[in-house]
Amino acid sequence: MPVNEFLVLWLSSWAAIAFFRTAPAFALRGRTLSPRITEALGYIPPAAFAALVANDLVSPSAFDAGLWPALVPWIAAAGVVVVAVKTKSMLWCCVSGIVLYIVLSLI
Amino acid sequence: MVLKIVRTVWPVMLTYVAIGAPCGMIMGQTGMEPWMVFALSSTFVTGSGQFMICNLWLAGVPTPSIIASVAAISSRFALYSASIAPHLTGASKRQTLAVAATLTEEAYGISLAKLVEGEDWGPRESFVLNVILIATWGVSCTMGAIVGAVVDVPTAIAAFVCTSLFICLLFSQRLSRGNVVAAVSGAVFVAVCKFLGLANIAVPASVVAGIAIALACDAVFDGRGARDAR
Repeated sequence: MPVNEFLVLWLSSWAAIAFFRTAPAFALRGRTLSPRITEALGYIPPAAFAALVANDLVSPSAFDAGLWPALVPWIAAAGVVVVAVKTKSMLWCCVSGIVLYIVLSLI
Repeated sequence: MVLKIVRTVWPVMLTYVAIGAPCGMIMGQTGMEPWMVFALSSTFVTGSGQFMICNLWLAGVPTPSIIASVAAISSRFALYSASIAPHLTGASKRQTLAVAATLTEEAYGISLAKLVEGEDWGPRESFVLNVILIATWGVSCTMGAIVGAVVDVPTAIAAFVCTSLFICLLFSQRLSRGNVVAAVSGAVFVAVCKFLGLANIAVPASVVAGIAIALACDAVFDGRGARDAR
C-alpha cells in the first residue's frame, strides 16, 4: 500500500472514528440522544455486517471457474454461521472459517 | 492501580492478542508496513473497521468508498459515547476527551459497569483501562504483521478470515424485526449493486439502504400498531 494512500485512508477514517467517539460525550453531557437517532444508529451494525458478508460471497463471475469453486465460500460461510450462533466467539469463527475453507478447497 | 486494572481486564487482553495477531497478518497482506499497522491499530482500535479496510482494499474498492464504509460502521461508537456521557458529568473536559477518544467496545462495557457500580472507579481508571487495551491491541496487530511478512498466507484464505469475522459480528446482533430487515435489505442491495456493475459503492450504499428500509418498516408497523390500539 503506497504511503500517500495509506495516510489518506488512515487519517480520514480516524477523523470519523474520533468524531463518533468524542462528539456525543461532549454534546450529551447530562442529555440523551433522541430515540429515532438511537434507532437509526442501532441498525448500522446489522446492515453493514450483512453487506460485508454479501460483498464477499456474491460475485457475478463466481461460476466461471465451475460450480464447486463457486460453492466453497458459501458452504464454508454456512459452517461459520453455525459456529457463530453456537459460540458467538470471534476466535472460533475465524478458526472454523479457515479450516472449512481449506478443507473444502482441497476436495 | 495499573495492576488492579490488569487483574480485571486480562481475559480481554488475551482475546485481543488472539484476534489482533491474525488481523495484523491480514493488514500486512494489503502491503502495510509494520509502522502503518501499529499507527492504524493503536488509533482505530476497532477490529471490524480494520478487517473492513483490508477486505475492501484487497477487493479493489476505491479509497473514498472504504472511508465511507469504515465511518458508517464506526458510528456505533457514538452510541457508546452517548451512553457513557451521563457518568462523566463530574469529569473535567480533558478527562472526558481522554476517556471518550480511547473508548473501545470491551473497555466501554467494563467501564460502564464499574462507573454504574461506583466502586472506587472514575475517569482516570477508565482511561488507564483504555490505554492498556489499546497497547495490547496495537502490539498484537504489529506482531501479527511482522510474523505475516515471513509466513506466506494465501490472499483468499486471509480474506475469508474477514468474512468469518463479519459473520460472527452479524450473528452477535440482537435478533429483532428491525435488525433482520436491515441485514437482509443490506445483503440483497449488495448483490443487486454487484450484478449491476456498481461494486465500488455496493457496501456504503447498501448500509444506507438497509437502515432506510428498516426505519420505513418500523414506521409502517408502528403506524399499524397505533391504529390497532385505537
